[in-house]
Order: sequence, then C-alpha cells, then structure tokens
Amino acid sequence: MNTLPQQLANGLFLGSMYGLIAIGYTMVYGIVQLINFAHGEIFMTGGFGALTVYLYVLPDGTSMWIALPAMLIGGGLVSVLIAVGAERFAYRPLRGAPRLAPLITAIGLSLALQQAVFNWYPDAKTDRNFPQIDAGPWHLGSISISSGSLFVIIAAPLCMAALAFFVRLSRTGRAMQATAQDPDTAQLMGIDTNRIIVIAFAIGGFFAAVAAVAYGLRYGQIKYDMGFQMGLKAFTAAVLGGIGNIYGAMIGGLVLGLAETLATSYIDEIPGMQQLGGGGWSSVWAFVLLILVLLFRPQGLVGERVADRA
Amino acid sequence: MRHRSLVILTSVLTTGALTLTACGSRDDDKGGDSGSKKTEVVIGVDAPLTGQNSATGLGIQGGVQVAVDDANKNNLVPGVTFKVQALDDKAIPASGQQNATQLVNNDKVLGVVGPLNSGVATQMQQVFATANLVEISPSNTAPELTQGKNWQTKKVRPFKTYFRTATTDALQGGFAADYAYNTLKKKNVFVVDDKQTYGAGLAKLFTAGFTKAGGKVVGTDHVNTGDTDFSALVTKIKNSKADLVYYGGQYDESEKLTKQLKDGGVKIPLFGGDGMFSDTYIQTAGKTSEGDLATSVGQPVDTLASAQDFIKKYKAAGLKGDYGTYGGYSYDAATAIIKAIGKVVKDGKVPSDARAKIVEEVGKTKFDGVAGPVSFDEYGDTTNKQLTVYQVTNGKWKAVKSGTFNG
Amino acid sequence: MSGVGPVEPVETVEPVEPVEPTEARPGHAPGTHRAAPPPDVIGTDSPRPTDRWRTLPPRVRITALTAAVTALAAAAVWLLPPSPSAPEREEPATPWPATTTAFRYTGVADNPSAGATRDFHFEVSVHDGPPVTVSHINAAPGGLRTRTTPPMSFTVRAGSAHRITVRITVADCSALPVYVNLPFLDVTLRNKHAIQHYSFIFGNRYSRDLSGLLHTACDANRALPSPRVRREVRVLTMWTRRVLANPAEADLHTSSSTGTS
Repeated sequence: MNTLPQQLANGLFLGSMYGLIAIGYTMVYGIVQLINFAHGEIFMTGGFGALTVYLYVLPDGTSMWIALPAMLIGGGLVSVLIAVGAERFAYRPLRGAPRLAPLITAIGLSLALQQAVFNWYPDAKTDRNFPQIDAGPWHLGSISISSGSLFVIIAAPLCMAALAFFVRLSRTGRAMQATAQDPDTAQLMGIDTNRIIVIAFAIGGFFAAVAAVAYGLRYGQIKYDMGFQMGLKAFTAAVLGGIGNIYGAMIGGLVLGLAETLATSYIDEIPGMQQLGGGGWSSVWAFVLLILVLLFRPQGLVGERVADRA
Repeated sequence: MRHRSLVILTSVLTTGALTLTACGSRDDDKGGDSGSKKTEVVIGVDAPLTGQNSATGLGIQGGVQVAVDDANKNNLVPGVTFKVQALDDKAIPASGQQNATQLVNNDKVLGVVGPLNSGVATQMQQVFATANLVEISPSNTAPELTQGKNWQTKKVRPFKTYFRTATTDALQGGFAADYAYNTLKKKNVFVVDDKQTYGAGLAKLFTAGFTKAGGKVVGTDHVNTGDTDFSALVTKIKNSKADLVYYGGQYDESEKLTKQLKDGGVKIPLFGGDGMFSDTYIQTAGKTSEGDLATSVGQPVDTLASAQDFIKKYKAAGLKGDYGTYGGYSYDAATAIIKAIGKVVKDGKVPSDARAKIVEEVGKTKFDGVAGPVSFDEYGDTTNKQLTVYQVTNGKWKAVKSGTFNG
Repeated sequence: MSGVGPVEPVETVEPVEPVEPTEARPGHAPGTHRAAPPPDVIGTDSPRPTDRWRTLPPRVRITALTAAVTALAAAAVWLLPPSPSAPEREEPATPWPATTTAFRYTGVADNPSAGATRDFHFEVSVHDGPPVTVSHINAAPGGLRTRTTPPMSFTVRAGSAHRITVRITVADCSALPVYVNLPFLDVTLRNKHAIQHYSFIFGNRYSRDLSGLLHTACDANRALPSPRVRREVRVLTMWTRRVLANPAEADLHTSSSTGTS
C-alpha cells in the first residue's frame, strides 16, 4: 500500500492547525513587532471557551452540528476578549518601552493564563474531554479523513480566504497594511493605529479559537498546557514562512506539518537512520528544517527582507 | 423541589453535626492524656496529582488517605495520629527527586507511598536509601528497581528501603505476550512505546515474550509523552498490516492513539499495560476503545471481598481519582507502613532510629490486605503475584483472564 | 485621535473569567453529566440548596429545620450505634476461591519416549477459608489436550494439599507457540462464595518442561498435526463424555463474578 497520499493528508491537517495559530503571531508581529508569546495560551483559552459553551450553556444532548457553530462563537469570543484585553492592559502601556519589556510581559501573561485555567476551570488540572462529532471516518481513495480533520481542512482555507479578502479589499484591511509598513506615517494619514492593532489581535485570537476547536475535535481532549507546545510550533511555522506575512504563516504551517509527518514515517526507512526516525524524533526534524531554511533564507520562505526598524 | 432541598439540608446538617461530634471526641482524647499529647506521624505520598497520569496518581493519594483515616479511627497505633502529606511529581523524575528530599527532611515522615512511575522511582530510591526512609510503591513495575540492572542474569537488590506491592513487568509483559499469541491468536504486532523507563521496558519484555512464542513484530515506533498527533504513526501501522498494536506507556497517550487509530480506519485492538488501565482511557477514547486490552497487576477489585469496604469508604470520602488501578495496593502499602510504625513507635514515643527500624519491620510484613495478601520477598518485591487481562466491553474494563504466578 | 475606539471592547475584559466554575455552573448543572467525570457532580450540587433555602418562606424554613433536627436526633440515637459494628460483622466474608488456592508445580514424569504426551505433577493447596472444589483443568495454549488424574472434580480443604497429575498431549502443532514463556493452567474453582475461572501461571521449570514437550512433539514438522493425534481423539471423547455425565458441571460456565452465597 502506498502510504504517501495518506501521510501528505495527515501533514496537511496538522499543518492547517499550525497555520491558523501562526496567523496570530504573524499579524501581531507585522504590525507592532511584538512576539506575542501569550498567543499559545489564547489558543488554549479558546478551546476552554468552546468547551464551556458546550457544557454549561447549551442544553444537554445538543447535536454537534448545532453545537459546533455556537462553540466556535463562544470560543472565539473568549479568545478575542483575552487577546484584546492583553493588548490593552499588558502591551499598550509598554508600547514605547524597550522591545524586551513587552516580550517578558508576554511570557508572564502566558504563565498567568495557564495557571488561571489550571486553578479555576473545573477539573482542568488534567485533560478535559472535548465533545466529538459522531461521524466518519470518510474515505477518499486511499485517504481516510476523520471528522476532526474534516473540520480543520474546511475551516482553515475558509478562514484564510476571508482574511485575504479582508486585508486586500476592505478599508480596514488596507489601513492594516499601511500600519504594518509605517505606523507613524499611517497615523499621520488619519489611520487610527490603536484600532488597527486591536483588530490584529482580535483576528489572531479568533483564528486561534478555530484552531483550538479543531484541536479538540481531532484529539478528543484539551488541556491547560496545550498552548505551550502548539504555540511553539505555530511560532516556528510563522518564522519558517516569514514572520509578518500572513500567507507565509499558512504556508509555514503546512510545511511544518508535512515535515513532521514525513519525518515520522519515512526517516527510519532510510538505511542507517532507524535510530533517528519515528514519532519521537518528528519535532527534531521540524526544527532541523527551520534551521536550514533560516540559514539560506533568513527572511523565511515567502517573507520579504526588511530593514530592522528598531 | 422543596422536598429535595429538605433532603439536602438534612444531610448537610447531619454531616455537620457528625463532624462536630467527631471533633469533640478528638478534643476529649487530647484532654484525656494531656500529659503525653498524641504524636503526629506523617505518611508521605508522591504521585502525579495534576496533568499527565493524574487520574491514577490521585487514586494512589486517595488509597493512602483511606488507610490513614482508618488507622486514626481505629486507633491502630496508640498515641499516634497519622497525617498524609501528598506531593505532586507531575510524572517528572526531577520533581520526584525534589519531593523525596522534602519528605526526607521532614522528621515527622516515617514512610512514603509512591511514586506511580518507574522512571520517577529511579530518581527517588537513592534519596530514601540515604535517609533510611521506607518507600513502598503501589505501582512501579520495572524489574530493575528491586532486582538491579542485570536482573535477567543476576538479581541484586539495589536499595534496601524500597518495596513494592505491584508485580514486575517481567511477568506482565510475558503474560500479555502469551495472551496475545495464544488466546487472541495474534501473530503480527506493531510495538509502540513512550521511551520512558516503564513504557520502553514493558514494550521490550512484551516483544521478547511475543517473538519467543513465535510471533512477529512487524514494526516499532516511539512517541513522546505529551504528544497528541499520531496520524503519521497510524498510517504506518495501517501499512504494516499488523493485527495488534502493543503500547508501552500511560493512558494519556494511548487513549489518543487508539482514537486516532480507529478514526484512521485501522480496526485492530490496542493492547497495553497497567499504565493504560484507567477509566479515563475509556472516557476519552469513547467507542473507539471498545475491544482494547490492558494487563494490570492484581485481581479485579470487585472479586475481592476485602476491597468492597475500601471502595465504599473511598467513594464516601468523595476522593477523586481512579481507585480501580492502584487504590487497593496504595491502601495496603500505607497499611504496611502503619503496622510497621506500630511495632516501632510505642506510646507515641518515636525512637531516634525509628526510620531504620521501620524499614526492617516492613520487610517482615505479613497480613491480608484489601488487594490480597501482603508480604515482601528478599528483593522487596511482593509475593502476591497476580495479573489480570482486561478488555473494554460495552464501555467498561471487563476482566477476561486472571492469574497468579507461582514461581 | 487614539484610544477611543478600542476602549469599548477592552472594558469587558474582566468578565471573561466566566471560565470560573461558580459563575458558569449553577443554571446548567445537567450539562456536567455528559462529559465531565463523575466527581464533578458533587461540586455542582453544593451552591444550589443555599440559594433555594434563602428564597423559601419562613414557615417552610422552620418546618424544614425542625424536621432536620428530628432526623438528626433520630440518626444519632438510633442509627449510629449499630452502624459501625454492622459492616464489621460482614467483614470476615468468605474469600473468593482464587485468593485462597495455590498451585505448585512439582515436576515432570520421566518418560521421554512418550513423544507427544507427558505427565506433569502439581500440588493444589488451600491455605484458609472454606473448602475449594477444583473442576476443569486445561493447559493454556490451544492445541494441547489435557487429562487429569485423579479425575475431576475434587475438593481441597483448608490446610491440606492435593497431588494431581496433568497429562498433556500435543494435538495440533500449528496452533502452538514455539516456546511457552509463562504457561498457565486454566482452572475452575468453586467454594461456597463463588465460582471462578482462574489461571495459575508458572515460570522457569514448568515453562522449560512444557516447551521441551512442544519441541519433541512438533520439531519434525510444525505445520502438520502431530502423528499422535489419533490417540488424542480417544482421550478427548472420554473427556467429553465425562462432562456430559456430570450435569453439575454445566453451570460452571456462568460468569465468575456471580456470587452464590
């Protein structure tokens, strides 16, 4: 049996999820040059927001087809509120400060959010089960797709297309591009840059929530510390694609997902590499890829070389 | 509705009043022997209480708590009140070592139950041995913990303070291999482990038994603890044409692996060890866990008359965690320590070499515990070598084969 | 020019915390039954009675209090004294047969010429509790046939030991493993408490001896059934007839978890 199509599909599912989260890193970085390390936790709270909607808001036994949109809205709301709140209360006061200050704040915020969920969300001290769509798997040729994977493979392109149209065609979108290019001039041109920054955080938060729901559907569980690993991978994806570029984030995500999957499945088939293959080494190969790409294209796969503005 | 609130109120008041009476009587006790106040002795617990493995870890804490409550209620050791100090090792060896140091430095601690993970145990044994503090693990199954690195050729006990109530993986892995080959008639297995002391060791012993019987290992792979995405691995398993997956590791990863396995259209059972035998596994994997198997140490608790009372108390105390896996063994481990303390501490007076004496007494332990007879051999291993194979049937672990090892 | 727009959504940040249990739960407790583990339910019920209690009319409250006090008094006076002793009286319940029975392998009969058949000696003992009846002994890997002398069933009393010989014949080599690592005997045990299907697992010596038998019988051609199969059929029919002749054994196949006492 040829496993390549299935493995490519696996990589695509995983990569789409990385990509969705990476959008949050890349948009915030593109506009305020801040690496929002709390973004992984915003992803996590989105998952818990969706779970809250399912467990405590919706009546018992609601069909997943009805519950899913509600969970997306609920999770999105929580993520967006936390992302925007973080911007307003943690990052904005530090906007004029040296770059290291907001970075440390982001790490602190990340820990605080993680501990808040750990301590106060009911039974969140270990994995919490996430509701599942009782359907599938579907088969497409030799590829089998589970319901969770189907969700992410539909949601991620939709989100991306919507974002692309928004940035390219809408007034706010163009204001966003302008702010990313030069915030001071943009402000002089009458653009409310604070509003633009808030919108960037909000979009990143919502995409993270979509990714969190996808994560819950695919793996059946969410956990207070799931933001750490996923956040790290998504940040890697953003850098891989070229941080600051929204297409780069998505492409970086896909490349990273594919690299991990293919490393798991094929490295140990290379003679002499048995010890270095398999699931335990997938992250290692993903980071090897990152280093290689950064060696030859420091701006990332699709990023443009920009002079450092700081 | 009103009726219901009345019932609730009544029960609240009753429990409240009972608690008050209990407090009162305890105060009376103290007043009675005001000259010699009751000595407080602490039983330490080390297990993962949050995060990874915490469902079974909390079961250990709960089991010890019930044992200590029983000892206090029945005044098992006159002049001594027992207390539990539970520390969370998060299944991380380094945390276990820190916890061990903390427990050793507390003079009131005269015995420790734990840890859950064999890998954590390897980092704790030396600390306890140096301080002569007895440690009984209800769940460690790696053979080298009691029989030394070269246990297959020459058994040497590395630490005289370490005991365990669970039997070893040498037995568990072999039992699983026999069951898979002879009863399930599986000939091609894909072996996955989590690279930890416990998981990798168990997988190795299963592989040895399975290939010795004539089975074939068609593929192996390793995962990291905390991994969530196994889709690439699932595709590999599918491609290998295995008819069984053996997983050496904990439920945290295997519950996701089995779900993704079946979602990926691979309809073969997953077989694992005691680390996987948890109700959480079924709750998480849901229908996809149906038909999966796990071996566990000991007999199913519901066939032990002695365990019924324990389960009742556990539930009544509202303790969290999965008592089904190691709860009974933890109760027995704590009781063994308490009984040993009873022989060393007389009238609440703790001798200066109490810890060393307790180690000696634990070695001589012999009583009928809730999970079967409790006694230790010259390596600190339990003499009660029981194993059970469970299978998920209609959303519950059902014992399909129970056995005792007779040397 | 700056800051006006975003302030609005920002103000609502604090209430995001509905993630907290106490605020989010009360109205929707039924939801917790679905995915949350059972212990959760204990937490959800607690805030409700207090709320409801406050809204009750005073007269109802007084009635409830009186009822509670009466119930409490009744509980204290009448229920409490016997309850601690009652479960203790239950405690020395009959142990399950498997917990009191032990099998010990004592050796193999020295008749290597027998080819596909060999006699293995065991000692069955019961260390305490009521007598245990042993019926049905089977050597575990399929492809082996078993005959026991003395014939089934026999009863072992506490403190005594019973010697048995299990004659194992290799019937079908293709179903057998090459080596038996931890061979077991599947037995059915019965005492007045329950019937249990149980396995006794043996290491070293029995494992070596049994594997020796498998080698002698099967090494020539593993894929084909053993040449001794015809003799085996006779043993097998004897065995079947005996089971049918003894209808008492028919109920032994009931689940091991059903208690009878």
